[in-house]
Amino acid sequence: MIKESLSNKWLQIVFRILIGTIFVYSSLSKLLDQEGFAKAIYNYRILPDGLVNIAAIIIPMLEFLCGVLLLSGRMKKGSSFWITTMLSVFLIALISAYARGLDISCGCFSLETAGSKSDILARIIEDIFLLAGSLIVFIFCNKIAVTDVRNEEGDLKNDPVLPDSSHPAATNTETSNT
Amino acid sequence: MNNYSLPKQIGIILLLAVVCGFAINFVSSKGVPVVGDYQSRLSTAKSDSLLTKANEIRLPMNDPYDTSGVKKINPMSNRQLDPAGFYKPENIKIDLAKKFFDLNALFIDGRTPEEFKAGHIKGAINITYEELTKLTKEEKTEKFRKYNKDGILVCYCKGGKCEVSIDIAYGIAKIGFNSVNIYLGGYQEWEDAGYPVEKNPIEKIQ
Repeated sequence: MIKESLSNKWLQIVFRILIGTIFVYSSLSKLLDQEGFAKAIYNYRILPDGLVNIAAIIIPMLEFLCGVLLLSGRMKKGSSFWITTMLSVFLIALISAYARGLDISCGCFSLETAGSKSDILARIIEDIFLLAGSLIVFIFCNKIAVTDVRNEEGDLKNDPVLPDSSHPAATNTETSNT
Repeated sequence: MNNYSLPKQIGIILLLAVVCGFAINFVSSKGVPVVGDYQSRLSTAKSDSLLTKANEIRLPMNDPYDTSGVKKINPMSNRQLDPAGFYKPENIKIDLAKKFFDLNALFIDGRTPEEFKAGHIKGAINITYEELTKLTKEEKTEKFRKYNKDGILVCYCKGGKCEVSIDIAYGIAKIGFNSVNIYLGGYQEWEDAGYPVEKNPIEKIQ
């Protein structure tokens, strides 16, 4: 049941649009300000100095490309893989910054938002939600839900009650069909 | 395109990101070198020689609030000119910071207003990093119009691993101030040394 609702076509589209838009939006300010983003990365003191600028050059473009791919529905698996990876890395960076009490500009969205401790906590929570969404897209994007297959085959097209995970009738429909 | 296997998709996306990333970095006005120099940012190697120079200064010195335009020779303003056309801020140690304090330098506190209220170097003004980065160059110039560009400025923040003061110092140097300094030891070191601080008068009453 959970598997089916998570691979639901519409849920997948909603997640893809949401995450894709956030990634494209957040990459824009960094794409043209490598200097500022490099400083933001440097302030985390996680990467060796030699890798800071390379990360500042590649990460915004990776965010942008993955966001666009996710929105357009091409290479969903690959782009959601990178987004999940990036969000995991950001999460580790944020948690370690929070734990060390670093006074940093987080560079998460716009470069102007500097991070106080409560800001970092908010970012951590946001990151966790996005991570959950991207994981769902990554795992289930290529699996078409049984309900969708049925719809496409026309089995349930005229059925007034479409099986929905939130609908109490859904469970009955599923069991009666199987 | 969806037919590519996962490893292939991962590879293609990474390759595209690397190629496009470097290309856009190359054309961007705020592009960075592939390997950045992050060590010289923290070096206080010049502090001692600057202190020797500062010790030769006889009062009266330039007043940071004197914008009359009457030029007085400020031996500390003879700095290294950055290729970008501004005088590079210098990192200074506590001894030189104290010397500048005695010479009536303007101290700029980059911490949050709450931290500033709780205690700051005597006579310091509070300008946060967020506040400064929001301003355009013209707005910054306007904000700093009341200060003497030849006067000695010292930026500081918490100390320890806080480097906000560096960014603030560069922001100020870029609008034409030619004797900007960064006191990396920050408020913590200053207070620990027992040097003059000011605390929120309301807290004093309480």
